[in-house]
Amino acid sequence: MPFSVFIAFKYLLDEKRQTLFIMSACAIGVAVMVFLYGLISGLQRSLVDRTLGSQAHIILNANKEKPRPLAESGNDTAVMARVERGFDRPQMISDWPRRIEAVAASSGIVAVAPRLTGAALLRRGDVTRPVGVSGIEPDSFTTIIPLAKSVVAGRYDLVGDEIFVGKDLADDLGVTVGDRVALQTRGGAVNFLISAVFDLGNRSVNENQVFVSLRQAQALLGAPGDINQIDTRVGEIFEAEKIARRLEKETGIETISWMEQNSQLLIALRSQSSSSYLIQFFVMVAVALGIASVLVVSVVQKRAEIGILRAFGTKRSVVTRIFLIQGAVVGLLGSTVGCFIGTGLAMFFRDSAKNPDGTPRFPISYELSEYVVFILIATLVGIIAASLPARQAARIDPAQVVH
Amino acid sequence: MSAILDLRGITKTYGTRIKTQVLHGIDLTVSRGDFLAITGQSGSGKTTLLNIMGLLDRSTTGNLLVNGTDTAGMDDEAITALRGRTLGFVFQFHHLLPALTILENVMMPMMADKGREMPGMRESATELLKRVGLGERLKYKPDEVSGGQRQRAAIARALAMRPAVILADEPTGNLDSVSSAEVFTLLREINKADGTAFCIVTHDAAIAKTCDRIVEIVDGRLV
Ligand SMILES: Nc1ncnc2c1ncn2[C@@H]1O[C@H](COP(=O)(O)OP(=O)(O)OP(=O)(O)O)[C@@H](O)[C@H]1O
Ligand SMILES: [Mg+2]
Repeated sequence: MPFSVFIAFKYLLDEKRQTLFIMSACAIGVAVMVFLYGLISGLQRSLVDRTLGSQAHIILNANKEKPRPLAESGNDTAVMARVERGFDRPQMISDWPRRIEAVAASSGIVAVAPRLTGAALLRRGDVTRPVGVSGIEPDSFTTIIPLAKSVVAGRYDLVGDEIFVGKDLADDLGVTVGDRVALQTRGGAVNFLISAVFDLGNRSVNENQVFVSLRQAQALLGAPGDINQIDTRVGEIFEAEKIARRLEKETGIETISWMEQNSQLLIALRSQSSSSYLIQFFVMVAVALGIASVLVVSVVQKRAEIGILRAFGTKRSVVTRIFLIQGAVVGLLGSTVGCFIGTGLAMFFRDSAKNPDGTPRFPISYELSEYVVFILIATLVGIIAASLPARQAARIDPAQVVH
Repeated sequence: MSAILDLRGITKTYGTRIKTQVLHGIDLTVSRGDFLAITGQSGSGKTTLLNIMGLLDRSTTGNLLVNGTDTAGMDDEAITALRGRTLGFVFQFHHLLPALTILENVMMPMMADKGREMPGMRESATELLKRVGLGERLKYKPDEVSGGQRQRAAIARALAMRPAVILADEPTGNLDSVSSAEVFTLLREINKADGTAFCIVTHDAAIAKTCDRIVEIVDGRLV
């Protein structure tokens, strides 16, 4: 064991109460950081998950007009985008099977699906509702948006004239699986049979979207064999915007990422993150000041001892190290304990804030690597905090303090 | 025989605004086997001189040669290493590190020199403590032994690096007369057995008389 480590540990063990005191300060600080981090990232993850639960990560859309974000009622957060183009025949993606293959092969993309979108009026008896119609291949589409998992009634299949309607729309019209509805466009009205009712967790989608097979949509919207949109899923959701820009260049098709569509949400998340970082920063500043002030007092108390160490051949640099090591050890051990406390608090919070159905409201969880980062930060903070007292200790002149 | 310590025209002035010149040109040599008493009135500069001889402080002017090498050009690190290997210290107060055991206190200079504990250090520190009569107190903390024992432990620590010279500033100043005599006998034994040179600051004229040489500081000069 190096001499500096030996002396540092002797000092820490000799002043047990003082050591415990600064380690507790460090543990509490790190616990706050861990708790806050878990809370914020859990909250953000659930917001993003909910947003992406009904939305493709990147959309390649042949329409000239950019989709505009649509606000959910009573909520400023943009949750979906819809293209409203009246009954005009939309612009189409030419040679789309080849295009889809090319997009699927592009790096960062994990799933691709074709889609034809348009607008129609949905009629049931005397009631009509304007809806967005999406023609999809059920198998590929559910790899983009988990529609199959979102089916609350019926079966996830579109055979012939079958249609999926959202839960809110179904409630509104008083229809359910097995009922018939009509979709009307300029070209006329077509009857459909409801094979599934879905709940994508997004009211706007549940109220306004219906899904039919690609072939049916092509007939209904007067675009045989065509699609106007390619939906994709990426591996890294926060890479979506970068990938979107690249895809746009590669394909020449207008491309929009979920990040662009939800820029408001992202700004909110980002400012939430930065305020939480700020809090964490100031917590660590407070911890650092606590460690530093205790060590400064310790240096003053040990002036004569440090003088003796120097008189008997201890180099200045070793004296410096003795105190830096104390700071590091306090940071390391304190933060390890703090990680446990913070996780415990977060789990307690998670388990006490539950949705009515018993699932946790926040999906709080931690990775080992996150703990490693917290412990590294706290250790570094300990060393930085100790650097002032360490320098003070190294400056002690043995002739002045030993008599 | 060449001198271990060779002081040539050492002066020391304290302060920058109000200057106090304490030493006015000291010439002194300390050789192997010397047993030297330094006396003088309180405030005459005995501690100041000992600090300079011990490389704990630098003189204002003059030269200090250690084993024939001038220390003037050395940096702090070189001085520290030289001090650790050549000189041992005994102070009026024992200044043992309270967090360490008696044994660890004696090992301290060895570990400081090598940067870590090496094989044999424990054994040689134990030997030294046996020699000063503390073989039974190795695992005790300094505050668990008597004042005389503490000072003997401090002497063992001063011997740790087998220094050529031990500088002792009123080593018995805090002890009762019995312990005081014991400590002095011990220093004398070490001097006789190992040839370690001693420079001892003392107020006690009786003790000074038993030394081989006595120098007195008067008005910053040796007489
Ligand atoms: N760091 C300092 N700054 C200024 N003056 C000092 C300093 N140290 C000592 N002095 C002065 O130098 C003079 C000599 O002090 P020193 O401690 O060497 O005396 P001493 O002979 O050891 O005295 P004592 O027998 O009381 O220990 C004193 O007048 C003291 O006031
Ligand atoms: Mg003195």
